[in-house]
Amino acid sequence: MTISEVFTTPGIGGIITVAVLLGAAAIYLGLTRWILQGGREEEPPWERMGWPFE
Amino acid sequence: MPRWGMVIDLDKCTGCQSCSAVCRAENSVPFAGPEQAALGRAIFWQEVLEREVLGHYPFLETQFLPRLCMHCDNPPCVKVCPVGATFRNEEGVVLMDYDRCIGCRLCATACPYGVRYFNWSVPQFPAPLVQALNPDVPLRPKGVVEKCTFCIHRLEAAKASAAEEGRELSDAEVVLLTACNQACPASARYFGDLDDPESTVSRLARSPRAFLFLEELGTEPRVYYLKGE
Amino acid sequence: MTAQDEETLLLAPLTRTSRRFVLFMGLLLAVVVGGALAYLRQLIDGLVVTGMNRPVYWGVYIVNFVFFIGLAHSGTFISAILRLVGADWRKPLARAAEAITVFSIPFGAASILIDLGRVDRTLNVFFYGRFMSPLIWDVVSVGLYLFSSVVFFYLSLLPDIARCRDRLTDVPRWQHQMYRVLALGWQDHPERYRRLEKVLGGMAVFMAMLVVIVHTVVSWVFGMTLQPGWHTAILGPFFLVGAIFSGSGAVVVAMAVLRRAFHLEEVLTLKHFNYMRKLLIGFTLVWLYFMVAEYLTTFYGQEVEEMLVFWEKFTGTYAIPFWAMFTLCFAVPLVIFLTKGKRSIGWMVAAGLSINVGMWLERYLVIVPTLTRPRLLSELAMGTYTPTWVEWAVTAACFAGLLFLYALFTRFFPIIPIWERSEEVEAYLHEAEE
Repeated sequence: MTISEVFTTPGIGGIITVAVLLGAAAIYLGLTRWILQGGREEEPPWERMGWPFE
Repeated sequence: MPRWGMVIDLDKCTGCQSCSAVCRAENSVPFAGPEQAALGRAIFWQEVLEREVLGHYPFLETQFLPRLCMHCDNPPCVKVCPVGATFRNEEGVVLMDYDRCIGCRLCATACPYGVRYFNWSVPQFPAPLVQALNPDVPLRPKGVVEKCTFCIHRLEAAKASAAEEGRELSDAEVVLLTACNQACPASARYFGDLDDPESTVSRLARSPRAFLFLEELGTEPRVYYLKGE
Repeated sequence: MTAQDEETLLLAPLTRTSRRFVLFMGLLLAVVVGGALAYLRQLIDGLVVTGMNRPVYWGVYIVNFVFFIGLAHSGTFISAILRLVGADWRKPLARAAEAITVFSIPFGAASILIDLGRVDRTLNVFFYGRFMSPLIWDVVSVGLYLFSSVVFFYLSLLPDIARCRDRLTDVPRWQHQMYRVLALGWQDHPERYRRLEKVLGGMAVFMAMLVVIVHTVVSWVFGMTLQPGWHTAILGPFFLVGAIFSGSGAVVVAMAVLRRAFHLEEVLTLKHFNYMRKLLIGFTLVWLYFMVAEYLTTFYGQEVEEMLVFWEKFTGTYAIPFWAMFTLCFAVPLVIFLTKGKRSIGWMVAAGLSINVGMWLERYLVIVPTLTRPRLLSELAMGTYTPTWVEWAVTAACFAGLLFLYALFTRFFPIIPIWERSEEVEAYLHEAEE
């Protein structure tokens, strides 16, 4: 696939868009988890609540 | 692989607008009606523009300009389409996929020639004409862009019958292939393969009278005009 | 005022609903519904109900798109960029500004969707998206911007939601439940605050870069075409400056309204308005610089097609809006900033409003005159454009919707950050730095 084809082929732009947005989602989710885990060793109450942050 | 193009001889053009009228009929181009046309909603795949009258009587000069899609080799409209609903096929014809178009009109604002049109409402046809719609041309829905297709349906049909007979399309067959060319009473219009140096269009395009519109923009239009004498 | 008193003041709006508030919200909702009905008309009949035509294929909806995305840039500027340079005076304003961002971007995005001829085919953008198209760049950058702003906003709000959960015990059950769920189990802990600050700091860097990219990309949907007045390298930076300019004006208005509505006279002081005033003087002059650079260059060159658009703005059909725009964006605000604005919040609000009205006109004047004078056509078929009631109704609905969401937010969440200015938290963060 040439560089030009990456830009002009229909569908590839869509994949790039979705990849960027999902990638950002994953990163932000990870960062939020990291923040909330600060200073906690035992099981946090939000996991006991059944919040789906596994 | 042919590269289709057109030549229009401005010296022969009388400004009769048969080309515009026939194009409407051939391609089932929707009618806007006088009210909507006054608001700028009329659709003219092929439109005859009249340049300002110059000079003083009796040395007057004007020019009629039959303007249609230039089917550029480097089309700015194709470049900007977000979904690939407009594309340039292998033979150089710039076409529309009416089913994919989202109606954003970016192509229409990008075209420097102003040859793209939008269906602002559900396409209308005056009552008797509904019976005369061309079955070879798809009708467009509301909300999509449309424009001249170099009568691709006629081109495909001609190629198909030539293939059946086991031969190539000849230049004589294609010169008056498009509806606009066929209708021209002044025989001012020619269609053909620009990659064939012997074709009518190629020979005319090499004429010292030949010019392209907005050539300096680099869009590489494929409709040549022959200057008036 | 003690920290405790201040906290009570900032949380007070969350515990009651005034009659005035309900009336205000009702009014806004009515405008939104009106716009929705207008849009429904458009869905049924097609874009024929608008004033757009050939060659003016884009109008008020696209103006709104650019305007709302521009408005959003203020929040990011104040909460992200000022955070990076350590301007602590921004702290009380940060959430109010960031809320403008979070609630404007959706209306910017909605404006594009409203403009589409086939909104039912929007998903084609994902299935068949071509990365060559400036519109796809818009989807990526504005999408990412919306996403990031919401996350940034939410994270900066998190400790205060926990505070609401813990301190506001008298509120209705559902409201308390909402705080509990949204607080994500946050408990105050030094390590948690340190991590939060780190993430916010990192995101601030990212958002600062994103702001530059987003508005430049928004301008490129015009700039990448070959139309006179659009195809100019200065368009990107010009739009960016305009965005931060209009957004900052909006922040001043928001600050003044919140100050009055929630009795925040001692939290949002004249000092804060003065900082904003100085920034705004800078922005006004930078904006003027870009205007001069663009128009002087065009005028000196005397290119035929460019001059057609130029004269349309300076002396032609669009002369009145153009000079009104110039007055509202430049003359009026600058005079106010240099004179009355120093001591009067009322005058600052007037300047902020003037800038925003002027900037909306500016977007209109970038988009419409060029379309009325396209290259080949302009010799032979001039365009005109008059927006219809449908377009105005939808525009009003977007503004009303923005105000509605904003007001709703201030009703249930503290619009002035509490945790960021608490001394306890400052101590946690300083510990880490030792």
